[in-house]
Amino acid sequence: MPEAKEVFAEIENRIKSHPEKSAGLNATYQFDLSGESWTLKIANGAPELIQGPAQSPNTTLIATTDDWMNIATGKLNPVTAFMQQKLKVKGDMGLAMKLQGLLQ
Amino acid sequence: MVTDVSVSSRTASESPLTERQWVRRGELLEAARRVFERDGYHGTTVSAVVQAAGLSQGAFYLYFTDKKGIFAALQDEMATLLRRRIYWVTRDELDARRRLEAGLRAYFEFYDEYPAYNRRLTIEGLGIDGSFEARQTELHQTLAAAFEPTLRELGVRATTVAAFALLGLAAQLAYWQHFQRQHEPSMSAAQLAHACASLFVDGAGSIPTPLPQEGGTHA
Repeated sequence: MPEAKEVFAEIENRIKSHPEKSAGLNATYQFDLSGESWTLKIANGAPELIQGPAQSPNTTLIATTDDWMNIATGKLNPVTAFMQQKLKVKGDMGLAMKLQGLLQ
Repeated sequence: MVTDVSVSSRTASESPLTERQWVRRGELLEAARRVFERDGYHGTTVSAVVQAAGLSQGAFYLYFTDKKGIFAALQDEMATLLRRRIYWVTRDELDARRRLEAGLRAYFEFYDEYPAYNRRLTIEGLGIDGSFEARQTELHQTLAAAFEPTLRELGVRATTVAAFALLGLAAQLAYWQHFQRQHEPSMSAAQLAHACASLFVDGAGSIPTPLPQEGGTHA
């Protein structure tokens, strides 16, 4: 099982490698996991990963580290996780779904 | 973390889904998978899906154009799960042989988790229409491309041919394991992956008998 840091780095790299998908996007995502927070800030399509919480996130995704890692690595269906309340989303749901589109 | 909405009936100009709508869309997708698994693609109706989800017919059309649309969304979602699994279990494995087995094991574990869905794809997926076939082709191309560097490291020269052959082998083995096996003992995902890798890399004569238990060593 990779570490959370690797998963977030992969997310950042994936967005960078497909700039056309995030072109013009401005959004701040905060990920609240078990005892740790990560921020993914996308400014005009360019991602920046920061360890720690954001000042004013547009969207906050909340899960235990284990559940989040299972979602990120394909072991847990995100729809199921959401319906079972293993994954919670606060803020702009549209941006949450936009993020998923970036990671396809 | 969330589902792909690119194939839903909603247009970009519509307002974003609310959390409640997002849950409903998820409920429809989950229900659809169960009904497709039970009744097959051709036997499934939108009415059966909304009934299984406990929602109204009108709710269905807020998110999907028709049966074809929800099947396509499901196909995308499941393909993403499989791709992610294989990617993450192979990403940091330096040894090519172990990486090959790890990727195959992820495939067989996915099949173990969703046997009825995979069976439906095997039986009906390519016969539904061109768009479904295109989605499956895209998935197979992605998976083959993921295996090709490993096969190259293992000394395979025709890596594209070999990668598609590997996928075909794995798909048939998984199907046999779940739906065609009669008297042979059941095999775990790890055993299937080991047998598959042994057959593919070393030849059929190298498949150990009896097969090693889960987590067994390499040939």
